[in-house]
Amino acid sequence: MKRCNIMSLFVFTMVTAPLYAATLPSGDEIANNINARDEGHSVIRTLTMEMTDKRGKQRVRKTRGFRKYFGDEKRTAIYYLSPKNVKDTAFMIYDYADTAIDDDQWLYLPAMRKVRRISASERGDYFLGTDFTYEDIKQESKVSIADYSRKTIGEAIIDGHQTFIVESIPIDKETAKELGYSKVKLWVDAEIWIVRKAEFTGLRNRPLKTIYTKAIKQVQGIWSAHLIEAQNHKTRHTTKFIFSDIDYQTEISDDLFTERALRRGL
Amino acid sequence: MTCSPKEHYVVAYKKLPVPLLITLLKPSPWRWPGSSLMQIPLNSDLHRRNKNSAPPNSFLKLLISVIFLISTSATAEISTSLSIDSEWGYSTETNNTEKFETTIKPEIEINLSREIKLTAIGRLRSDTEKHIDRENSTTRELREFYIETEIGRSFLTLGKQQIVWGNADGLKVLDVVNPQEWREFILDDFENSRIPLWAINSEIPIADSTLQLLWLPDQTYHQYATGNDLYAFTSARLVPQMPAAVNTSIQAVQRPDKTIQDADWGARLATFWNGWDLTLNYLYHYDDRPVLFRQLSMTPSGPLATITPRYQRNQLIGGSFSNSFGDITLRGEIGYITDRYISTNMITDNDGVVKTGELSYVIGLDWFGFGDTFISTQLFQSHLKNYQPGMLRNERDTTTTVLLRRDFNNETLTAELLWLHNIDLDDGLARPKVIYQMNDNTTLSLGADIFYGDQQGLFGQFKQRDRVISAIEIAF
Repeated sequence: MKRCNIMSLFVFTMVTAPLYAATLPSGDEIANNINARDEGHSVIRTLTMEMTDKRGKQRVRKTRGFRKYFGDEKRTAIYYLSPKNVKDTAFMIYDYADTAIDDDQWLYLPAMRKVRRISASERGDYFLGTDFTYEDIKQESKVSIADYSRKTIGEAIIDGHQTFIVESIPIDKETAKELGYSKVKLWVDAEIWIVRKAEFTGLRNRPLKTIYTKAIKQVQGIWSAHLIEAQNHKTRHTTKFIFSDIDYQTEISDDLFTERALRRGL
Repeated sequence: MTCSPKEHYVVAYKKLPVPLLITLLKPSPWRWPGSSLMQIPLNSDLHRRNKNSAPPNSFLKLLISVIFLISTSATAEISTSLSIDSEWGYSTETNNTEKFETTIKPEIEINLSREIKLTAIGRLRSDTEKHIDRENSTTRELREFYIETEIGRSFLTLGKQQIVWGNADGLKVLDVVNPQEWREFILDDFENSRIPLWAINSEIPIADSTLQLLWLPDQTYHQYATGNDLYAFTSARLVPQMPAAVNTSIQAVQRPDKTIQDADWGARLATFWNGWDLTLNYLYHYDDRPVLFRQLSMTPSGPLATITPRYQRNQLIGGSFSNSFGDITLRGEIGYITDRYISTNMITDNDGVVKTGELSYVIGLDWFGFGDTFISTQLFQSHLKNYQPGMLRNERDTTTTVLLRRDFNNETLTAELLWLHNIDLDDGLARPKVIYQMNDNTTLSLGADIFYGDQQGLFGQFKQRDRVISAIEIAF
């Protein structure tokens, strides 16, 4: 009888597993849904960065961020407002729809009063002392289609919401090296297609960091994260991005995404 | 250019015998310690702070009127900040404290209206040791004072300001709009050593480009270390020399003094094209270094060289570029100066200077190959078009720089090494430094400045000036 039960369970699993998998959207479908989610033609928001080291020492930066689509091209600019030692620092990125074209990135350093061109392959480096990489900043709440192959590996409940679990692997070693990850596991909200949790594995296959997206609320009809928290398991450093004053409706001047605007600041 | 053309740093004239020269230089003779080099009187003039940096009266009145009118009709939003920077320098050559300097910089920004902002930055600087700048160990100044406004899509900045051109680090080809303070050679940050000027600075968008137009009615020029100051130039390659038998008479410096007629002006067209950041630059200005014209005559007491320092008009035509390719960012500047005057030691030369064009360029490569690591190298070269024997510099001058920087602990700790090396004279400067961001308001640093090489070189002349520097900066 016992053998019969085990056999039955085995047969049931063998039969139903493909069916169960078939009911889940594929990794690429989920990625496409994430990227198809409305994030507005443009957005203005205040971003407060709270960085805490393993001893609990905290640094806080207040910034004003702007993002706007120019056709398929996305331009992002972040201006630092405080504290004094980073005030007027500004970062800008042109993210081209054609993945064959490298992004263009600039950093304005007030101490030098010069806008510095930054290599786009630096995307795996951490952004100005945070636990987010330049690539994380650029992607915002989206995912890179071209950099990863992906598959759906299950479902889970995160913060009371149904999510699909997607495992993403960089398409080759070079890309993995650029990104700084060997694997990324995403928990994607099954209704609103926002990544609620992401686990990043380092190049040596050790846990690197986990990013949580919280306080997701609608602003002007668009689902918006108000808190994104990154926990670096290697350094035990954490970064919280707290978004406020989110505005998708105010028109942003094209001139704000220029080198002269970076130099002049807000 | 900052580091290469040697003759530009002319601040002294070598002459023997000393007693006779001292007589000629009265009433304010200067003398280099342990040498026969004499500081010519023009140095005190060159050194005088802000002699001409006061704004033209009409300019200042207009600015104040505009501010007053706006401030009376608008609700001003004010933000203030203050930074206190204290530096201790210890000479490893003399085992003495070289400087103990505190700099306080208050800053205020007033949004007079939605489109108009006033910025004022002051600076109080005091050095208890009085080695670097013996005459002005304590200074206070209104460092920057300007209003910014938008007219349509154009930006306008009126007032005392810094205008920075180019993309090179530590070397200057295009970054010559503002003069520089040389009291501490090139060891001080350009942010601190650049001398702000009264100017009208407009930036006008034209299609996808920006045209910057400058008008600078401010006759302020480089300020040099003088006499016994620690970083006064001493190299014979930097200062003209006369044979011992020739007497020398130094005349007063002839400075431009007509606000409108002697104003500098310039233009810069910047654009972004196919991934390239490109600029075209033009500056019509007075060279910030005086030309030392020499006239020889016979007197009853022997041959006499009369030196007349005079500022000369110049034109700079140039451009810059930058783009990134994978891990590498390529950047560069090129500039042609139409009328450079180089002093010559040839006694047969009529006026002691040779007029020449000068082509300068710098090419830099920034590499981002390792995480949190930045490696940057630059090659700087300048060529004289009309080189003649006896000139105080070579026909070609080449300097290389290497910058290695690595960040640790989420950019709270930074280690860096900047190395500048002149290939022609085999001298240079190494600057290792560690910077620690203790918290949002406090930064600590510890570094060293190590000179080496031929004492006739720009860097080598300071080989007895090696030092360790520690600093604390508090900003809020």
